[in-house]
Amino acid sequence: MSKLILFTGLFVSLSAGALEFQSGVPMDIQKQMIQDLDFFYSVSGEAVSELHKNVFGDVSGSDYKKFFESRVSVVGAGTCGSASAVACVWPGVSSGGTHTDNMFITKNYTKLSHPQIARLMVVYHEARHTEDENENWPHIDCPTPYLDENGHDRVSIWTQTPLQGLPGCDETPIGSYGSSVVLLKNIQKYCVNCNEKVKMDAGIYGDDQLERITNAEAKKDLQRDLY
Amino acid sequence: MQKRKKIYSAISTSLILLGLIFVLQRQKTLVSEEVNAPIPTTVSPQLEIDDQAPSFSTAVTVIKKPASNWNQKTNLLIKLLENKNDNDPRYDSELKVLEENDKAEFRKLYHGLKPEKRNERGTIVFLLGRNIQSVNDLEFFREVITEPKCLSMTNCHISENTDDITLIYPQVMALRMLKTNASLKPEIQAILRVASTNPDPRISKLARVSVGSSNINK
Repeated sequence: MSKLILFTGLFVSLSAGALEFQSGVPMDIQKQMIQDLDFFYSVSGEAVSELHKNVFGDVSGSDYKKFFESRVSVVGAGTCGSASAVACVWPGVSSGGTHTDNMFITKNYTKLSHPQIARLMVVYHEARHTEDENENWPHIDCPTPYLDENGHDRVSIWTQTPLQGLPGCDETPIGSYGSSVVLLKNIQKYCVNCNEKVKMDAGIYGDDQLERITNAEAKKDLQRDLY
Repeated sequence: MQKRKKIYSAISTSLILLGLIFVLQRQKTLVSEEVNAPIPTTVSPQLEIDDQAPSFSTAVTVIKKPASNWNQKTNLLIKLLENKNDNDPRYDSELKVLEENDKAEFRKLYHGLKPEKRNERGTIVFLLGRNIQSVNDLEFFREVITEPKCLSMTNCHISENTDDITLIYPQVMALRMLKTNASLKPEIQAILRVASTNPDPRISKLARVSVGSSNINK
């Protein structure tokens, strides 16, 4: 009898539209991720920036849903190789076809106290990495030295190690970090059904991600489009 | 008839066995996946309020109050924080305007929350930041900005080699809310000057930008 319950429990999983959760993903994480995505899928915007239009479409829930679900089909549980990681994709890992479409979520998704916007930023960043046709928008090595305006080492948002020489930067305005800036700054500026806190958060995290863009031209493109 | 029953029975047994084999094989596959990707443990979604230790930022000891002893707005806030839906419209309706007693309770709640509750703490800073009306309100922001740095998302007191911006989320929120507040300018600038010497470069930079670098040392 207990085995039967175990088997039953093993196959219980939630589904968020086209998104499928593997049975190893704890129920609280599934629920939280569905709640987060449901919020994004309900967003409505009064305008859109050019870069956002090119990457995501309009500032609208239906376009955010299309973007995410056309890239990620299956969500599994994982550690992503770091104690502080929240999510990851492994290029080449798919749910059966040849296209990268698996995302792994760690226990940190619900364990750590991040704003909802930060959780969504991470999963959309990872969704960008599924794009095999764009070589998965790889990070580039940060310059050495990589200093902020005060002459301090810039450090990783997620691991605090100095970023210099590490693949934690972006040289394009629409890669994984750049697209996060585009997404969040558009939410901050144009979302009409986001509350004040969410818009404030989108600004905080969008501005922070901009620091990962090391190519001067790419940074200028973002600033022209979003600031 | 008896023979037919036996055939049906054999078929049923075979089907059950096949189903069992399928389930066991599926389980085996899942287990092997789990070896490569350990399954996280579940975490209670309940909001943890630290009722034992003194507050992270002040020496005030917070007594955990039962829900019935908080006022209506604080109970609503606790409920919203537990729901983890940051876009709840009630943040902009019921919790938009705060009376003095609401603000006092929110500050108490902030100090009672475990320091690792970065989003919850930052949310309270945000709500109080929309209701700055007097110099007394600013003292809380000075406290938040000068808190010891939270060193990791799992334990603020132990360095875990992490520097997520969420670690300074309450401080960044405090600075942004002060920046958007046009009243009490001299008092706010005094706090920003303190923040401009914060060891975290992101906080000090934000403070300098907020107050304007030309005014910072005046």
